[in-house]
Amino acid sequence: MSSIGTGYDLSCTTYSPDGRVFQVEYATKAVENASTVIGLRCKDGIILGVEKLIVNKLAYAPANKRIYHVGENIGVAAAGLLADARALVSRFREEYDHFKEFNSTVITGRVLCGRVARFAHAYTLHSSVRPFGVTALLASHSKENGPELFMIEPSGVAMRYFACAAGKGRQAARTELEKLDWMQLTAVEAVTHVIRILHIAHESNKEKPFDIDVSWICEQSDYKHEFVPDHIFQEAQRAALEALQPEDDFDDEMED
Amino acid sequence: MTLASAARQPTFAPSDSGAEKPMSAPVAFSRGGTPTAHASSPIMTGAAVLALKYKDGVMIACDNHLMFGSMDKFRNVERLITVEPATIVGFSGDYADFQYIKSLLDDLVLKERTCDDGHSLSPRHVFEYLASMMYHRRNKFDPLWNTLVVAGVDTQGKSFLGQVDLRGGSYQADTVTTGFGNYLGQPLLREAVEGKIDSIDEEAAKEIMKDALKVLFYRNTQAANTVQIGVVRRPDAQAGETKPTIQIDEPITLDTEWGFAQMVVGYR
Repeated sequence: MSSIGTGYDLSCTTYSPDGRVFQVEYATKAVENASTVIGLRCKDGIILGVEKLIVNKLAYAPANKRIYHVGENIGVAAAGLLADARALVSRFREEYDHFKEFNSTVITGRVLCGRVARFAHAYTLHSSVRPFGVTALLASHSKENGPELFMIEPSGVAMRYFACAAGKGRQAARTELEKLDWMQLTAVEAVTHVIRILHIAHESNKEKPFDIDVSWICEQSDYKHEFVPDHIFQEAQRAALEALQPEDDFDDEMED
Repeated sequence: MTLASAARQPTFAPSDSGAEKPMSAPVAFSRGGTPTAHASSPIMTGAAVLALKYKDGVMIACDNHLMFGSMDKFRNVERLITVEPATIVGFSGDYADFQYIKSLLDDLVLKERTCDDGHSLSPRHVFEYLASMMYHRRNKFDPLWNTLVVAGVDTQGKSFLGQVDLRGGSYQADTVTTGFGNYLGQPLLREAVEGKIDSIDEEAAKEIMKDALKVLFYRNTQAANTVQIGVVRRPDAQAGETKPTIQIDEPITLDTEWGFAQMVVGYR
């Protein structure tokens, strides 16, 4: 069957003989090589964390964003091609604005996820476009539904999760996320875990320096999507590195 | 149709007869055949807004009522809104138009937030935005029927106080009033505030406000005695604060004395 597949990967309008759409799989590949993104629901909130590889030391650090505000109570973290991510995020914002203008109320995470997923899916149906090279994690919080986490993949598949990960370190991250009793975690504890897991997920990419961004929606942020305040982040980072120490050798970084 | 009956046809009546139409001077018509008309008066209205600068920031106050003509129709309406992170906007005039303005400001705040570029909306930005928007609407001959008061603290920690009217006219001052407050409130505020801003603390400012609101209630049929006071405080550097704080108090009812009314000719 090795010859099967050749010639069937130029357009997502054509299946391969064994029923695959290669362009979508290539888009998924683009995400699998990108820096890790994780999302975690906890007892009283929801956390998004991203690993940001430092590709150029001269680049203005804050410009390299992977977590975006969509609305007051909605945030998106993206793994994959950054430019595609921006295009997808602008769609998130459009859907959010249109819904608000039309209904005079804020869109729920589920509805927003569904609409953007359909949008992403449309890009897997035509020969004139390519699928988004992005997996987006959508975090939302509303009075009615509490904290919710969704993941939208390049294929247009979207599901709700209690915890999820995408990007290069996703396997390691998922293994760690599965060990957590997320329903018992407070938001502050969850931030520590998110940072710890991002460090573990980075193992496979060890030689490259990286930054971490963490955002949350919880009581401390007044149920708005915000980046975790610096002092909480620093404290969580310290605790996370400490927790990693017994099994990993983080001495060098600790003394920096 | 005879020529005589055509001559009797009113000049501006819509007519689809297609027969001889009366000659008339060119007039701006919308499609329906009548001149385009927009709202020419407010419907549900808020009365005066008063605002002043004091030592620690700015204070803004107004009553909680909406009038339908001269009828006191709604008695529990918040007429002050916050515009994150350091501005309060109050209005007099049409409530529906103000609700629309509120939705515009909500969008403005959200856009600023999603940019996530480390900047934030200062009261001056809100003020300029509202002034441009109101002027634009008056140029369309479709004004939003409001006088808006913008009070806040800017990124340098300075107090800001300004007013925008329905024609887009705008100014800044140490004391600002709208509507009937221009006649009854402004002189009282000026008397109390001009040249003394740095010696008025929050308690004193509140007393000045309450006095002025009381006079409004006594003298203006459209003013009410349930009022709300909002403040935006400058960050207190000594207490380690870096950001202004916004506070809009719960409505209070002013104590008023009507005993003397017995002496007024025509009261009973």
